[in-house]
Amino acid sequence: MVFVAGKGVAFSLLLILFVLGYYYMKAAERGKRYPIRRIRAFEAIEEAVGRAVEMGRPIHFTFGYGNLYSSVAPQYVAGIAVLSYIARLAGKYGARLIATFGVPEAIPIVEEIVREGYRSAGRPELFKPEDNVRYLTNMQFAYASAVQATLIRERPGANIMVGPFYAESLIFAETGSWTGALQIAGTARETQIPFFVLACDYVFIGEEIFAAAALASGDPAIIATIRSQDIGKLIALALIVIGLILLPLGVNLGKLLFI
Amino acid sequence: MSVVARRYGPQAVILIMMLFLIVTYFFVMPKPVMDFESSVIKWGSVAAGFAMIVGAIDILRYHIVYLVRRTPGQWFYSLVLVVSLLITAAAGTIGIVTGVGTTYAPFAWLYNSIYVPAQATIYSILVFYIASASFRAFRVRNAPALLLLITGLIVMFGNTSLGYVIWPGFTPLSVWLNKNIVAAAFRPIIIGAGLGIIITGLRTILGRELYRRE
Repeated sequence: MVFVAGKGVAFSLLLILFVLGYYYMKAAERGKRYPIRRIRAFEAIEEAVGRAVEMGRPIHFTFGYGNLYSSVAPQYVAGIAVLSYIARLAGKYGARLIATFGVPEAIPIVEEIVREGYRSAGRPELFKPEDNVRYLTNMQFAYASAVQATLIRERPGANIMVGPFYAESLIFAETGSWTGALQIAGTARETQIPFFVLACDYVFIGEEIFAAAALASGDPAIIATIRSQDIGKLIALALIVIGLILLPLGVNLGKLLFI
Repeated sequence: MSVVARRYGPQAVILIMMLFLIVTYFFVMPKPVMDFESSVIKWGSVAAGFAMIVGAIDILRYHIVYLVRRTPGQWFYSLVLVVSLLITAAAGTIGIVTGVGTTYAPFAWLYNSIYVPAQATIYSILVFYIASASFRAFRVRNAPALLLLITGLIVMFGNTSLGYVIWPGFTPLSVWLNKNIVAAAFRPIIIGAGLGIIITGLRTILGRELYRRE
């Protein structure tokens, strides 16, 4: 088999990360544990759920306008994992969870995740699909206005937003802030992160949403895969330093490896 | 369907499809394989089309509950939504049946005179949120906040014709800031996110993503 021009090195890096991820996963299954940095936004989720329960208000969760079949799909998957954790906490504390979203393909997944969260906490009677799981629309600003309306009418005690966000991010964050909800948000779409930093109490910055997804599982094997991300960062850092050294010598490492 | 098929069937489909798309992305493949790859991507769009029907039913499911219960503060909005949805669906169906499609006059009117202006209105509201967020961001409480304010002003003036009239240097300074300072701050986030996506892909291939575990 022949590589498409310029993709050989990228494939090798992908393979290295896959192998490392698999190795750390298996090592964790054998009992090896790796230290993980504390992520304040993740730790704040339980506090936010508790606050909502104390205030007698619901918890609102939304994923953003991204979808399940493009380059932002992994962010959506990370959002689903975080929602799963929130649903378990909602079941544990007897909280009312409202999950809003704009991807019709995700309806069965979200419904199952929320149902399972309440069920695993021994509170299946609290799950009401017509209330807990709300598919709104797949049109961006119709979705944005529907989420806004939900925030204003339901007055959630906690507003948690994790996934691929576009221009609607600030609309949600400012509305949530106005309603007095404790806000936790995260996205890997770098252009939207500043809006969340401005308007939210806790923020997952970039890759932290993927780490949060792993932490949400509570499974040491899944959490261990975060370590391969760190190795990937070291490789990226090394390539940047080598590129900087080679550039004055007239060698463009980026072009040499990837074009 | 047996438990094994329910548990491993979707996982097998995901594994095969992901590996197939990775291989066709990185390696030169014969034309029939690439044609099949295009078809696979189109299948996604077709499945998404069917999911729209599920979505419409789901929307009706909870809004009809609100209507039946006369939920205070909600039932009227639900009524507007249900009526609008049914009228739009009917207009669209007539357009398809008559062969006119989306140019069917009532459907086109609904889209151009109601939906498009409503969408634009919500988008425009963003400017007020940006104003209130900027007000919070640019309050000078310490030296870094002052630096942020100065940088923000340079970028804002650099992106407007008024800024150019005040001082032509705003535009190149703004471009320099975006190309160097902002890009340098964004790149680690992009690299980190890319690595996170790869590892999420690995977990998905191995069936270790939480939402599919039993």
